[in-house]
Amino acid sequence: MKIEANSQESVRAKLDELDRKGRERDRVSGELATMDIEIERALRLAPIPLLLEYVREQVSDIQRQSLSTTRRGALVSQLEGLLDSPICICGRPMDESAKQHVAGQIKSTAGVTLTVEAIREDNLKATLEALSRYKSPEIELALRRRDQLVTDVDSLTEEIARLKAETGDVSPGHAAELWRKVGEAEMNVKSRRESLQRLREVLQTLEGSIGSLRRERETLASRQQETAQLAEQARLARGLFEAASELIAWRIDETRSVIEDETSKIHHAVTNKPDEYVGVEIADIDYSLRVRNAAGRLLEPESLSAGEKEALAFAFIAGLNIASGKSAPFVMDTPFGHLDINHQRNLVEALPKLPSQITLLATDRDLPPQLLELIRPRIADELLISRMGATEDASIIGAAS
Amino acid sequence: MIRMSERTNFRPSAEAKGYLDKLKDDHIFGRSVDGYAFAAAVAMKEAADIDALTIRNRTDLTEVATLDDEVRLALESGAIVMQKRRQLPAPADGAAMVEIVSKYAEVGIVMLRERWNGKTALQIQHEIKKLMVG
Repeated sequence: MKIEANSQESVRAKLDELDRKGRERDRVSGELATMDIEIERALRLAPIPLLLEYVREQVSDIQRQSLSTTRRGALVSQLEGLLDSPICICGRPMDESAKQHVAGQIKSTAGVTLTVEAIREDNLKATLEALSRYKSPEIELALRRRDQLVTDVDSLTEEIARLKAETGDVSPGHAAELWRKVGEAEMNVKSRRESLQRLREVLQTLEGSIGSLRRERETLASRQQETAQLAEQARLARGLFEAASELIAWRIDETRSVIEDETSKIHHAVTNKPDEYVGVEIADIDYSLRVRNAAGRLLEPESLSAGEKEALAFAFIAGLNIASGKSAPFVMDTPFGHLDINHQRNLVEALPKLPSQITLLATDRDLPPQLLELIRPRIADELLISRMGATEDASIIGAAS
Repeated sequence: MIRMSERTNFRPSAEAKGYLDKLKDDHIFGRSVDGYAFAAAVAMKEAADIDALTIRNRTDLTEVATLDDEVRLALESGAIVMQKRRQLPAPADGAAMVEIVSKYAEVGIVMLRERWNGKTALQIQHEIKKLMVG
């Protein structure tokens, strides 16, 4: 804007010149208009100089054809003066006969009627005489001046057009307004520079923050990458866990089903109520054992008798052993103490059907001879355990007799 | 001396009036009738022949009285002298005087039109000046 204002200031002189030229053109145009009117007026009378020859000729004709009233009046006056004079104009004395002749002439001349027509003719002749002396106006000078004025107006118009083109649409008022705006703009610039400085300081601080934030962002990005990897691993682990859980649940169900089947078979063999108890089931929540009766009800172990509990325990342990597929050695310590005779026989008869090596610890009361005889063909070895003495904490294992 | 009837209209041919209007529009003369009078004066000065002329397609221009009296008087003088030189009787009345002046004007317009063809208004005015100063 300042540049523009300087530019405007430089054209101010041109604007002044433009104003001056405009006024000059108005003045010259006015003079030209006046000169045109003067020329027009001169041209209205232009036929006269062309016809002056004819006017003069007409004046001469009229002079020849008529005596003017003026001349007649002058003649009468002259004749009247002659009557009073003693000598005639020819030099001879004015005698009586001469005076009578003059008086007759005065009478005849004065007797001529001055008609309106004659007066008009006299006036016309006078006008024609005046016209015959007509002098043309200085039209040449007027035309030259007019031509000069036309040239001046054209020149001024051209110059004004050039100045207008150079100054555009700028006016002096516009230039002053621009300078006022320059002042305002400079104040704005100063204010904005101060603001800019403050902003630079803020920017510097922010740039520092940006550096640390960038580093933090990079750290976070790497962490984010790690997090993403971990999340992926977690997702995989969760998938594996879910698959494993599903597999485990399936495996549990399968194993439990196998255990239940094996346990139920053995329990059916050892129980003394094979018609009442139809199977053994393992609970979902705590894996406790229940016996399903023929009516479909599940019986808690607490509701069974002591012998039935032992039969159920034997069936479950044996079932687990079979279901494990390992055929682990099976050690039984005085297992028949709480069993009735039917349970004892059932259990003893079931022992040879187990796929495991069985070590049976029993007293002669636990395993009376009739029961022992039931399994003797299946016994690999029979040992006798006896105390060494009442005061020694030791036993002697020897071959049974 | 017979003078033109002031209340009579000049009645040039349509063609002549068209040229007079152009002269006025080009600001050569302020009025058409001024060009008309000038044309008549030129024809008289150059002793143009008007015998064979018959003005056709006539149209009203303006009243005779619109001309300055001095111009009228000069034209009338010219008409009378020209009639005398041509050994013709002077016009019998104002209308006849108007007709004689009109014939000279009609012939003069044709002459001027030929001379001024292709010239600017300023050039024509300078031509008029030359004719005026003889």
